[in-house]
Amino acid sequence: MHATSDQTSVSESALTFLHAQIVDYHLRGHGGHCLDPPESPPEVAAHHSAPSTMPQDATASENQDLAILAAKRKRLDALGNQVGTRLVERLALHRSRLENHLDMVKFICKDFWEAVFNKHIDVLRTNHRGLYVLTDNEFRWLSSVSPTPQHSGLPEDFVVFPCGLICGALTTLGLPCRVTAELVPVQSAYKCSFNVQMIQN
Amino acid sequence: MENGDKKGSKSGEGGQERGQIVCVAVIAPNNALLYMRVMNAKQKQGEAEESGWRQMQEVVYNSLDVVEERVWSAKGRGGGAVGRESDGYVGCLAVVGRTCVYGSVSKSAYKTIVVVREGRDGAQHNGVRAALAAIGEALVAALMNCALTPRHALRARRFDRRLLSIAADFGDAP
Repeated sequence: MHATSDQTSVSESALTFLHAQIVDYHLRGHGGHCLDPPESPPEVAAHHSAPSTMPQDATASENQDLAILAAKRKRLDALGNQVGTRLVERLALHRSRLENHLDMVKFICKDFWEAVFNKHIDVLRTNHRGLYVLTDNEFRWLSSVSPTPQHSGLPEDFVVFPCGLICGALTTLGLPCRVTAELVPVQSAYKCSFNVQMIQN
Repeated sequence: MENGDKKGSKSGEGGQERGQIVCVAVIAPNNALLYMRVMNAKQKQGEAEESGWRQMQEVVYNSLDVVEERVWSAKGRGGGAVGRESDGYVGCLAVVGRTCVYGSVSKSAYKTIVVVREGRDGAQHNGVRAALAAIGEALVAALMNCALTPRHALRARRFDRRLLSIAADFGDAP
């Protein structure tokens, strides 16, 4: 994350690699192991091996895997949420009060994005009913992820943390919301759209 | 408890020359008390200390209503300059005897309440404002600490020391 000249700054590539490692650790590494189902003893596994070939069991196992992946992603999202909460406190310290929700989203698009990615959000759209779409035409944290399907991790995994980051920042500013992301491969990079849906109290 | 905008300060008969911060409290956006420190509380013992702390807590909680009223009702009307400046200063919230209660609100709705014993010099408003801004910066620095969970009780030695230093700079050493 970048900082003003009088503050310590962090190398952008180091941050990108660190983010990739955090994703890997939480979704495929030791960070997510506590959510994995306990391994069955060999004899029990052998006993269950025959029925597991049945389609019903295969579906159940697939559902369980999906539930575990969702839980792991939720943890990663919570991590981003905490970082966003802390970061926005510091960035908003010397700013004038943000009066309405659009001002808050604009703050995220400009100051917050500048601090994290050293650029502004490229396009901001809203339906004026609590939905905001923030589009980054070249999302930097996906610059090292190949658009080809051979890559070990899904590109969607790499936007879980940023979604939490935006959600945490906006919630702290007083805009409780739900954030989802859509990815579109563009040449060697990804165009990323973050959909911010305000949660009505 | 008298509620009002007090611009100047009372001239204390036989009191301190300078004002003194007697209590600092930090309140979370959900109005939970995160931190409260009563200066000079250690000089009192036992029940006196306990009752002083309780009294200050009551003063702080009563002032919160005034903060809510000023900031959010002004916001609801679509106007009002209260709390809109970058430091979120909301002014004097109440006068209790020889003490005045001042407050500020951060962008994320953390409220900082300061109880000040008035001194003889009249120019206290700017001093309180500067102290609240400094406390706000110290609070943000404390919230950056990864060991602390956001919106949970604030227990940080560095924050404590910073507050003591702000209080010492403001008036008499605590």
